[in-house]
Order: sequence, then C-alpha cells, then structure tokens
Amino acid sequence: MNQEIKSTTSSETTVWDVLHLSGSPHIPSSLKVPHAWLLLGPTGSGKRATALAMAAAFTCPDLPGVGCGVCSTCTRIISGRHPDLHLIAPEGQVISVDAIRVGVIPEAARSPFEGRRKVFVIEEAERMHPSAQNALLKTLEEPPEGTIIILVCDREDELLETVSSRCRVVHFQRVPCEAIQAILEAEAAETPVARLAARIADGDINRARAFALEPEAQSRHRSFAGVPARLTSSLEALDAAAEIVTEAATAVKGRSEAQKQEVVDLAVALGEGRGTASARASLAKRHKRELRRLENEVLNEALWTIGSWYRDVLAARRSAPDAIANLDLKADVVRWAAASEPDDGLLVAAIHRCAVTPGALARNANPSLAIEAALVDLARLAPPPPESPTMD
Amino acid sequence: MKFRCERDDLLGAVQFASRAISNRATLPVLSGLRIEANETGSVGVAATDLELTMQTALQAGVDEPGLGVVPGRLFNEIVRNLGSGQVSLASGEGEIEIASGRGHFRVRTLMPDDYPALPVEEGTPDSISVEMDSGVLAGSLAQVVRSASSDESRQVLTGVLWEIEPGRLTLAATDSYRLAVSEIEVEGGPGEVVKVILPARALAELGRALQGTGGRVRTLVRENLVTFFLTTGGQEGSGGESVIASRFIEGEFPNYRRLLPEGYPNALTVDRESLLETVKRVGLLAQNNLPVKLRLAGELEVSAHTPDVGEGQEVMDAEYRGESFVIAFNPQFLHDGASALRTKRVVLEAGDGLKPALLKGEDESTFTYLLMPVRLS
Repeated sequence: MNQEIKSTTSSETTVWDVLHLSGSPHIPSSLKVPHAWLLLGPTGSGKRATALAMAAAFTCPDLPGVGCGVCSTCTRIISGRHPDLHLIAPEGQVISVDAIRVGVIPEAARSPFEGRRKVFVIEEAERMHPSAQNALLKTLEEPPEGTIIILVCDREDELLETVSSRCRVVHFQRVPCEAIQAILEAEAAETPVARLAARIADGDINRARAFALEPEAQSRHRSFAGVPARLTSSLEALDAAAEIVTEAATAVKGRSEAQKQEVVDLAVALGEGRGTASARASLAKRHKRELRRLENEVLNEALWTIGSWYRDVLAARRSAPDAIANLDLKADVVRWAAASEPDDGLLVAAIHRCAVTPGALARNANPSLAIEAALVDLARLAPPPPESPTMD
Repeated sequence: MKFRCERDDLLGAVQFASRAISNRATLPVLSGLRIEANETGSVGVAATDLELTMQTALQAGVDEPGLGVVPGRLFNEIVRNLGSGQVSLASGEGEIEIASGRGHFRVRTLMPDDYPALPVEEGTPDSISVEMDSGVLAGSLAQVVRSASSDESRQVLTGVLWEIEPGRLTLAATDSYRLAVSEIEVEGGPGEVVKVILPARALAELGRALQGTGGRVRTLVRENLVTFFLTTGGQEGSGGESVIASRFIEGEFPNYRRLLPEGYPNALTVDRESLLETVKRVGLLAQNNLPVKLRLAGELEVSAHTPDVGEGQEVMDAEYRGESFVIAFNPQFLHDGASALRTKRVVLEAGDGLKPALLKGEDESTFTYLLMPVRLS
C-alpha cells in the first residue's frame, strides 16, 4: 500500500489532466496511501475532482497509482459509474445514518467487484449527521482490506474530531483567478465571460463554471447585483427579498420538471411490480430534499452576490479598483463609492450580514424570513447614495 | 447485434438472469439486462446487482454479433407476453427492436459502455475448483442460510462461511443466537483449508437457481469472488452453462468449532414432525419474544405463557437419557432448526438450562444446529 499518487508524469496524459488538476499548485504532488482521507478546503477548490482522480489512480489498470484518464475504468470513475466507486452525497440537507449503514458499511465489507480496491467518496462530509459520523467510525479506523474512504469537506468544524483525527488531511486553497479562467476557456467559454466568471467566483470553480456556462446563472447574477441599489427603505428591501425568493422558486420549478422525467425513467426501469414501492419512496424523499437544497443554493448565491457588491464598493473606496470582482458593474461601483459617505465599518457590517445568513439557512431558517431580515438590515446599514444609479 | 431464437429459450434465460436485477440499483445501468450475441451462435444474458451476478446462455441464429443493455423489467415483461415461436432481435442506435409474429417492439436501451465488467470468465491457475452434486448443495444451503444474521452492524455474520478442504465442504452460519453447520462431500479441493464468507442473500438466490437443475455444480474460488457453474440438466442443446457469481464478505468468521460442545449427558429423542407441530402450536402463546419452555424428561412437556394473553401446554412422547430439567428457547429458532433436519427423529442434547443445546438428526452427523437457550427469570 505504499504506492504513490503523482499529480504529474512526464509526457503522458493522465486523469489529473483530464480533470484539469495537473499542475494546479493546490494539488499535493505526492501522496502516501492511507485508507482514510479528508480533503478539506473552500467550496469549488477542486476537492471533488481530486477525489475522483485519486479513485481513478487507485483503480486504473493501465497506469496504476496515477490513473490514465482514458481507459474504461477511468472514464467510468470520472462519470461516477464504476461499481468499485461509491459516491455518497447528501440527499438534501444531511447525510443520514442510513446512508452510511446501507451505502458504506455493507459495501466496505464486500470484496471489490472489478479491481483490487474500492473507493468511497463522501461528498460534503460535514453534512453527515453526528450519528452517521459515529456509524462510520469503525469502518474509517479499520476498513476491510482494499477499502479507501475519501471525505470531501468544506467546514472541518462540523466534523467530529473522532472522524477527522482518523484521516490523512489534505488542505485545498481557493483556485487562483487565472487558473479558473484557463479551465473555463478550455471548457469552451469565451474569454470575456471566463474572465468575469473567474473574478466573481472568488476561487470557487463550481460557481465560475455555472456562471460561464448557464445563461440563467448570468441573468440571476445581474438581478442580484442590482439589489443593493434598490435598498432605499425597508419596504423596498421586502420587495427585493420577495423577488429573490421567487427567483429561487423558479429554479426549483425547473428542477422539479426534470425530476418528473426521472420518476418516469425509474418506472420504466423497475416496472410496476412488487418490491418497487420502496425505490419510489426513496426517490420521492431524495427529490424533496434536492429541491430544498437547490432553493438554498440560489438564496446563497443571491447573498453572496449582494455581499460582493459591498466588498467591491469597499475596494473602490480604499483605492484598490483592481480588486473589484464585478467587472461588468465596475462603473456603478465606482460611482457608488464616490457618492456615498458611509462609515467603512458599516460596509464591513453589511458584508458580514450577507456572510452569516447562509449559515442560518443551513440550519433550516425560514428562507423568506431570513432573506427579508437580511435585506432590511442591509437597507439600514448601507443604503444606496442618493445619486446612485437605479435599475430602471 | 442481430439474432433469432425461440421465445421459450429467450424467456428462460431472461427470467434466470433477471433475478439479479436489484430494485435499488446504485448504478442506473444495473437495472438492465446485458445481452451479448457471439459468432459461435450463443447468446449470453446477464444481470448483476454487484453482490450477485447471474448469467446464462441460449442457442440462437446470430446474424450479427454484438452487445446491448436492455431495460430489465420491461424486456422481461415483453418476452413473457410474446406468443411462442421465433423471436428476432436487432439493436440500432440507442434502441433495440424485438419482432415476433406480426408484432414489433422498439425499446430504448441503456449504455453498454457503462456496464461493469462481469466476473464470469474462467479462473486463473491459482483459483480453487471443487465440484459437487447440485441437489446436495441446494439442500445444504436451505439448512444453513436461514441462520445467518440480518444485523448489518456485524457484516461477517450476514454471510455464510464456506470451509473448503480436500473432499469436503463445510457451510456455517450464525446470528449469535444459533449456529447451523452443514457438511457435504465434494470432488477436488485445495491442498489446505480455504475459508471464504459469502453473502446470505446471494446464496439464497443460488439455492433457488439450483432447484430442479439436477447435475453438478462447479465452484471456483478466485481472489475476490466465487463463481458457480451450473449445468442446466435435461436441457441439452437448449443452452450452455449458467453462471452465478458472488462477492465475498471480508473479515474473520468466528471460530465456530470451539462453540460446539462435546458429550452432553442429557439427550432427548423425539419425532421431528410432532416436535415441529407442537412447537408451532404452543409457540402461539409465546408472544412478545417470550420463549417456549421444554421440560426434558421421559415425556417432553412444551409450554408457553404470555402475561395478559394466556398460556399453552402440550406433552409429547420422547425417549430421554439424563436428569430432568427445564430449558427454554425462542420458538422460531427451535422450529427453524428442527425443520432444517431431514431425519424422522431428532436428538436434542443439552447440558443444563443455560448452556447451548445441540439439535441433530438421529444417526446422522452432516448437519448440526446449536441453539442458545433463553434464560428463565
């Protein structure tokens, strides 16, 4: 088990290249192979892609220890369709203890199906319910032979210490702006869009990708970035909050249509026979959680975008216009910064107000109330200057 | 892929393989049946839920070899409802066409590239091969599989231990309340004892598939799985071998031989059928996990009592050697043990009311059932 994973090899293409990881400075160049890993770092810093690359490296028959990225094993691993790769992700807000008891423990106890190893990737491991984490402990400490468990995690403080202390920890950093731009361009985004996406994503490759490749995400961004200019009174704040919540509901509705198709597909695959009821019930449960989660994601995106506006204003006021992220709105930002006389402390408070609300949503706060409260506070902390542009 | 075959042959193969399709497949492609037509004129039909893989073959007129993955349940239903006679199948871009008589069906297929590599090919030189009578193996599985645990927290106990040595195979399963051990004769075997643990669910399927096949089963133990090759008896020419493969459960099975007591002084011999009936009747009054009590003496008195419900008691003829005392068991576990035996009379050997008791067939030693008594307060 002392094989090494390498992020780069001489000339051959590897799975690390395929996943745009090779050469990125945040990938450790050499990894020993313990059986439990914790990939820790901010959202969108390439942890999931690294976990898949590691899984490919562990199981690839052609380039063992590296992963060729092109064989049947590697391609199925990259698309999450390999029998020896087990992806565990929250169905909604949490990873339940059942997900561990059914998805991990019995599977870990089985011999691998195709290769010599089996890999479990637990995404958003911080969403494991404490009872799920406890259920995992024994397997994490002494997994059956050939088992590798990779926890992918944004926030270490939500993991029990008994879990994190059993893992080899790899820290990830935000992806540099230039690297994001290069990856997006490689994925066929146009340069100006890629540059803007890279700036506003703040090191989060997922967010940047969504912005660059989904027109809905771009239109949402424009509408969210316009919110601060509208917060002239509490009443306006409530209106803006209602719009944000509607935006989230629209996204949810789109997904809900896709889910209906999934239900049809499941019915075709399973038939109507006996024993299929539990599969249907679990799909329905998953769908409900997914929708709740998607709603939260859109709300978080709104809060993040609004926060980035205040941050940009602060940057402009502190004479650091190069740090402005919302390149498309730079002129508006500068105008606001010049016209307003707020205490910079209030801007910081506004940014902070945007930053803490996602935490409340993650703890199941009522979405409408949480957004309304945040925007009313913002209208009080950093109202738009009188001459600031309106959205009309 | 393009081939013609008899509907009955196709249906047999499809129904066999479909047993391995899971209702809660983790990979979407596993809801499908993998159909592969070979130049040699045989068509393989396979499915897997990763734990259990089932594959069989049928004879066909193959016009164009190839591979396709069809949605399992739907395909099964279509073939089942076709009239007898010739069926022809042809796969196109992302779909398969099924024609029979004047009927035509077009069904969307799944991605064959996503289908896992099936573990059904022949073994490597270091794999272990043993052969046995399929009826004997089926009987032995029926005796043992039920005693495996359903508690997922101790995975090794959810499986059945296979102890393979030259000329002999021993199957053992326990849920820590009872232990079932069955021995059968085999041909071949490794130089030294090989132990593997197979999931009880896969073995229950194997037992079902063996029913009515007759003939021999060849068992191949490889690095991470066991493969069973079944010759489908009596159907020469209609198909080839069927293959069932199962993954191992990794871990150490408890040393069960240490648990088997030797030389208890007390032995009760009773008619098996009467015991089964009596335990079932009296057991009706042992509700809420309460035990049935057995007073071991020249006659066997079986009794049960559930507060606020009622009580039952029955006396049976028995031969008894030893001291008279009372021992209590979970009625279901006692019933399971007695029904797994096949002799006319069974022997219950016990030390006292607290030591595990042994249930065996009279003058028969291939099957042993060890049962923990329930402590009486």
